[in-house]
Amino acid sequence: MKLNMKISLLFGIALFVCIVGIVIPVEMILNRNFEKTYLDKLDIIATSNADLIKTNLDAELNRLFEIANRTESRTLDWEGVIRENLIPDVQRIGAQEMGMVFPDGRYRHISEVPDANLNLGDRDYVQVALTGRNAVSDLIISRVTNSLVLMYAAPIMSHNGPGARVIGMIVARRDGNLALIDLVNNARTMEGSYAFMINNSGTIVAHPDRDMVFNQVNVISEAANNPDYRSKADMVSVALNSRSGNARFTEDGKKYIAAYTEITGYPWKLFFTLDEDVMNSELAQVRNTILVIGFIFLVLGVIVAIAFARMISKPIHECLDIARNIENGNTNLNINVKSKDELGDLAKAMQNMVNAIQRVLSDCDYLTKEAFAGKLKTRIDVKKHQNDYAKLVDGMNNILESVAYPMKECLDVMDRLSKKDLTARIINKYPGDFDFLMQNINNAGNTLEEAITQVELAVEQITSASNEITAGSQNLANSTSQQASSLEEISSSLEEINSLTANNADNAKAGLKLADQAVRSVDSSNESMEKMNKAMEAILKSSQETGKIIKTIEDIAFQTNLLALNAAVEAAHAGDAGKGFAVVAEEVKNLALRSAEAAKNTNALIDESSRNSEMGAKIVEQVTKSFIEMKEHFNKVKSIVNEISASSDEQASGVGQISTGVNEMNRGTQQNAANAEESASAAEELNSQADELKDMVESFTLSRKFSNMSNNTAFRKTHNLPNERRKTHAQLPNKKPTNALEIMPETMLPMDSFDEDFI
Amino acid sequence: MSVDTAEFEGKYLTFNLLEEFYGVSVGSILQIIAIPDITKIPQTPAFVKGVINLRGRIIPVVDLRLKFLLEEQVYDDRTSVIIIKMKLDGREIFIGVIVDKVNEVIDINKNEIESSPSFGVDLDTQFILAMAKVKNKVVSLLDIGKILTNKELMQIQDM
Repeated sequence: MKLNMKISLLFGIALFVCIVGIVIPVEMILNRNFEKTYLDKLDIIATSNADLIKTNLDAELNRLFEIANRTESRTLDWEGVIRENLIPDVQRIGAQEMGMVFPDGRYRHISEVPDANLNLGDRDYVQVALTGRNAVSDLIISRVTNSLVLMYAAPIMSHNGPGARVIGMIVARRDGNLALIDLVNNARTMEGSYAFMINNSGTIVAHPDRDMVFNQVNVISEAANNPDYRSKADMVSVALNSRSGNARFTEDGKKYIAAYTEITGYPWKLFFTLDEDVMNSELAQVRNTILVIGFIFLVLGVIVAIAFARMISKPIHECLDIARNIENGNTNLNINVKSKDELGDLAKAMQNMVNAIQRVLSDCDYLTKEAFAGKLKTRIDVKKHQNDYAKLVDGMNNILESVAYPMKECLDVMDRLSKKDLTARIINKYPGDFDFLMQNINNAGNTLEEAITQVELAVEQITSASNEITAGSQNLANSTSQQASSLEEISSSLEEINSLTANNADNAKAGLKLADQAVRSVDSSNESMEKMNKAMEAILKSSQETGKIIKTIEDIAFQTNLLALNAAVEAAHAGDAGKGFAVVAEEVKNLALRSAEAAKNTNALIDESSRNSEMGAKIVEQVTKSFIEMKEHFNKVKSIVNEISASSDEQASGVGQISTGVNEMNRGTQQNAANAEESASAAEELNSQADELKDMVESFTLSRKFSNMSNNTAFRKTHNLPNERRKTHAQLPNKKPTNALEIMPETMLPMDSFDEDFI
Repeated sequence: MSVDTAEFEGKYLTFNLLEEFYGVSVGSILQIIAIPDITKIPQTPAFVKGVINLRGRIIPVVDLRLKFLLEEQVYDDRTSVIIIKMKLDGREIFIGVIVDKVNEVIDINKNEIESSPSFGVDLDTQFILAMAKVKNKVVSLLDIGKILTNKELMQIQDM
């Protein structure tokens, strides 16, 4: 916990204890006196209001007495005089009704019902009035209206002065619900307070809650049934037996204090109550005021305490900051404390300490910077510092001294090495790390000399190798040019094949057309054959018809022959006379015979024609069959020619692909030729560079102790280099090891693509 | 025996049975017709083919091949019927003779006639009058009235 916090807290707690110590006794005294003050106040209110109510009632009764003892009233003539006389008074005194009671108790009133025959002789207030005093009834139920009423009665005296007797009385009826309540409500009270009134039996006659009055609640008898009333009933029981006093009671769960007093001359007691909460809230208000004031003082005290604590803790904090800065190595500091007390002295001592440290540090810094700048002869003046600081500075000087001497010999050796004298070495012995350094320098010299010797050997090998490369490149160039010419020939052959294939395809297409035409002509021939067949059928049919006709002709010839014979017979019968006729008959017969002969010949011809027709039909059928077969053959020819055409196309495209492949090969060959040339020139370049390298190596001075190494060893050493490189690559996880063998396929990528084309 | 060939001179109608030529005197011929429909008659000899109706007259017809015991022929459009008229008991009767083919009416001189050959007593050849040689062919001249016996004729006429 911070110092200022501690001081503030202590101060604050002390202040709080003081304030609490004052407030609690004040509170206790206040509590005790507050209630008494309120009860006194209630007493005064109750007494003064009881007096007020009494004065008002007395005044009203006196007014009624005055009315009762008018001359007109003393006539006792109700119908004739008194009734008319009273009517204006009803309004004036604020009554509901007025009337008159005779000494025998008969009651007449202004708005009576005829023949009511009411008798009030048994009423208490009537009996009191008959003794010659003014009287007020309790709250009673009216025999006329059946409602709660308050009756005033004033006696009519036979005359003024002593010795007068009561000859009747005037009564006034007031609304029981209002009369006393108005009186009570007019009473001056205070906040949280209410007043009520009871009669001698404990029945409530006035209350802010009018229902209590209307229902004529008796507090004492009600308490037997309702425990809520018990507390109030206890108070009322005590109050009925005394003129006035104080009490506490509980109603509806609330606590009240009360003061009561009798109304002198009347059967009622007046109560004034005060809600304790009201009283307590006022008490709380006072208490709160005290607490607020106490709190304000507390806050003010704490603020003062904080300011005081700040004043003490600020220089301590500054000193603390300085110490922390020194702890963290920060010495560029100024202390800003001006107080003259012990805290001020502490600050000054801190400042001096900081200054001493700063001086040491700045000298060390200077020395270090000089050493970094290579000025190893710079030293610090030890006399400027005291005691342990002086020892520190001296040590720094010694460190420089120990570095400077070996450095000089190193520089000498390095100088010789840089002048290409590779025989230079460090001769003196030094301790510790310096020895290690010197050995390393000597090792470096050895390694360098060995390397240069190896370079010498390697240069010789490079020279011979580059010569070989030159020769190889030449060979490659020659073979490449041969390859190129072969490719040229292949290319021209391919072109020929291509044109032949194209020719083939064209011929196949022409053949296809011809086959189509042939098929069409076969179709048309077929149609002609069919027509011919039909024609032959027609011929056959007509031959048959002709045959029939010939038959008829034969028949006719036969008949004619018979007729001729008959004629000849008849001519014979006729004898000589028929000779001429016989000649005619003979002629007819001959004609008939010739006709028959001709018919026979014709028939034979027709038969032959028919046979020929049938044979022709058969031949036509065969020809048709042959034509159909021919068509099928042509169709086959067509499909074959189609296949030829398609395969020709395929052949053409294949030849095209071969052609592009050969072209690619050609390009590759050209590239090869160019590469061969380039490699030849590169080899030459290599050769000349090897010569240069050789000159350069020869400029070094060597001790020749490494030159007896065999070529094999040299080879192995040179091959160690890539091995070491591979190791270093293996240590790096994300890099692929690359060597000559793995690079090869990438350089041959064009060849790969060429192969793919070829396939 | 010796017969006067002159009595057989005259006009003859020649006809064929198979390849053989026969002749019949035109004097006994009423008419030559093509073969008509023949109505068959039961209970008659085989050579009697039946009867025909020639212009309202019923005439019996005889197949001469069957009468001459030659092989039976199938009638064709050359087959003809020669209607013969003859006397039987003073009554003129007609009879149809079916032949293969009728040829012509020719005059036969006595020079061309030879008497009919006699083959023996038992052989009845009296219906052949004579043989004539005409145009290198032999024509048998028939006495048509004797081809059928009287009994046969009577039988036929009673049909």
